[in-house]
Amino acid sequence: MNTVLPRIAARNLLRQKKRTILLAGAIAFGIMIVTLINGFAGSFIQNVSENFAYLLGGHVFVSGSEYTASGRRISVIRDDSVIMQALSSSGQRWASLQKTSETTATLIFEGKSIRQNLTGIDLAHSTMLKERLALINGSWDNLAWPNAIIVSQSVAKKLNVLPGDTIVAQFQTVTGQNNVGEFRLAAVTVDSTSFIGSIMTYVQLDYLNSLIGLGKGEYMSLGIMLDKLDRSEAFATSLYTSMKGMGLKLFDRSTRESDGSMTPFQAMIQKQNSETWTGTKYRVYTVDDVLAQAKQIVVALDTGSVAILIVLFAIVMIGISNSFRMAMYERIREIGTMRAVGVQRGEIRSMFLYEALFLALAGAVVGIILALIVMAILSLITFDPQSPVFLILKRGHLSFYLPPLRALGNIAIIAVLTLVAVYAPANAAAKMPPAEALRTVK
Amino acid sequence: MPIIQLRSVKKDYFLGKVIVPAVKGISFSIERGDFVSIAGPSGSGKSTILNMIGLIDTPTSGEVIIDGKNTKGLSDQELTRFRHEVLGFIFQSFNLIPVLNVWENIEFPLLLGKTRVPKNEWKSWIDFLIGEVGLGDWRAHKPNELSGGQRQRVAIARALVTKPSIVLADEPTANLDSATGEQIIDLMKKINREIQTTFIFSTHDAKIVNIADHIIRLRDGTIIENRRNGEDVAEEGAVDTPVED
Ligand SMILES: Nc1ncnc2c1ncn2[C@@H]1O[C@H](COP(=O)(O)OP(=O)(O)O)[C@@H](O)[C@H]1O
Ligand SMILES: [Mg+2]
Repeated sequence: MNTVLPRIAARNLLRQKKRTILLAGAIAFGIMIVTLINGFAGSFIQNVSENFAYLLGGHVFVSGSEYTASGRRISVIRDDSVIMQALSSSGQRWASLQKTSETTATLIFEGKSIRQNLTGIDLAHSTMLKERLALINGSWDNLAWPNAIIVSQSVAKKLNVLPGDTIVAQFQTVTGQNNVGEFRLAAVTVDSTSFIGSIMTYVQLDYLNSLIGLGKGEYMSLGIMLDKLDRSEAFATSLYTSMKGMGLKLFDRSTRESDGSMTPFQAMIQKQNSETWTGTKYRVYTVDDVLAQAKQIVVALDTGSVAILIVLFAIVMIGISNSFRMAMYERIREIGTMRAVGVQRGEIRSMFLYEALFLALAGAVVGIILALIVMAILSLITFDPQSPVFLILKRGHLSFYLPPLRALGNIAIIAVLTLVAVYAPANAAAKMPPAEALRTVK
Repeated sequence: MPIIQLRSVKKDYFLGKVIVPAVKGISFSIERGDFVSIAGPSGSGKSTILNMIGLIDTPTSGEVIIDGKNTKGLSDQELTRFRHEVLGFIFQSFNLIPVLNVWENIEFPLLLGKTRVPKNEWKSWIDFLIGEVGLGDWRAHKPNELSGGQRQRVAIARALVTKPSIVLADEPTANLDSATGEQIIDLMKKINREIQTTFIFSTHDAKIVNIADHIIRLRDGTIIENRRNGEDVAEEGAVDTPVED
């Protein structure tokens, strides 16, 4: 294989700088747009899932359901020893466990009130809180208080409370009785540190349980944090199998097909709501189950990016095809000369195809570099933590993840499209009879 | 045996429905090592004949035999390979490859496949040719940095680099002033004597015709004179009697 033809092809690109810059620029622009979409889609689901995982306190969840004597269905795990056993026998690793109870309450202080979801966890031993939240007021030491409450900056402002103040809460017990409790403000979190900080209100699990009518050691759901998000499905499946093996009653994990009107997760819950049973029945689910819709968005984004790629490049390819046709006429005597001197037809075609390939690769590489630069710049923007886009952000910033295969795939698509666009003129150049090519004066 | 034989070669061009008879059934032979001139006014069929000898065009009828090989019916690929191995070309408008420098232009044909020059001799052979055409100081220059005469010297070196049996030059002096044109013809003649390559050049310039050993004069697609070393060549098909130019 001789290298002189690719070498000539490369130099021909440099020879027509204006044309090359224009065409490579068009390719680069298209690749940049597509790469940005891919990069955004790539990190979108990860960010949403991670944010939700922290919001909900786990990647995989186990919750229990039972009927009270009056027929009311409540969410509770009375005895988690079997679950713990199932967890350790599942053979999977996890990072941390978090036992959670929840209730909706009206918080009242000196005539001002606000409705909040209270999340009861073991405040003093939660590493997640210290990792994820920053305090503007109060102290981590106060978390030892048995009736400690942590609210966000905006809630504290609304109630006009300071650490040490006593806040009254109105809520219902699990059995539906109205109840009141007193909490002491331990700390105020900075809103901007994360989305969680701005909407969550944390209280002591034991204290909350006693107020809503659950016993000591009982709770509503167990959140399991994994070290890697993408293991959650495998983890849930093996935990489910393991729990089933222990003889626990479980909601079917496979009932997740959507009928279109609901998310698969909603469909699952609805189906489960129509059942009755005695004792505790457990549900194992993951953050992804909750976020099935978000996944569909990613699929839509990726499909859309391919569509954009094709439409954008159909336009670019027409331009490339035309300008190679022109290049062929401009170089017709060169082609005739090469043919006379001993260059074969196929080699003339290859020479044009090399030129097209180099053009496509140069454009694609520049496009990806541009996209990476734009991503880096966009990542610097800090978003308002109150804004609804916050869930798709990574600690308040846009983030991008470009799967390398996706980038390579885009380069391959553009290379193939360019070769297809240039094939006809390249072939015409190759088929030109040498005598005719040499006769042409321009 | 002659290195080139044309037997009753005819070439018609088709311009829509009009047939243009460019070469009207001619026969002649060319001897190995000769310096040959194909002379005649513009439109007399010189380029057409050289193209057929050069295997970049095929006759409408008749046979072209080169180096003992009848080229009739060869495929494009076979013709291309034959051109590469046996023939060298020099063009009226030089036709160098603009993106290659002097050295690379001369080297180019060697890179296209099998030739008579072993690879380990390429460099010294190209250097020798660059010396022969007097461009030792210009090897790294691009064609657009050279004068017309210099470009044609590069083309001569390129035509010789594969050690072809025959070099074809279609009006090599037409784009040069007459002094430079004569130098180019002298250079070709010198190389022809030194390395015994057969040279065939066409011209409509009466002044340079006479340097040739063998003159084939054309008019309207027929041979009107065929003289080698000062004597008429009697050959079948060469029916016309000489006519004053
Ligand atoms: N491709 C072609 N199509 C039509 N006519 C042609 C073509 N090439 C040459 N001719 C005609 O054939 C005749 C001989 O042309 P050519 O061989 O180029 O002559 P010369 O080289 O002596 O000037 C001329 O009348 C010319 O117009
Ligand atoms: Mg001519």
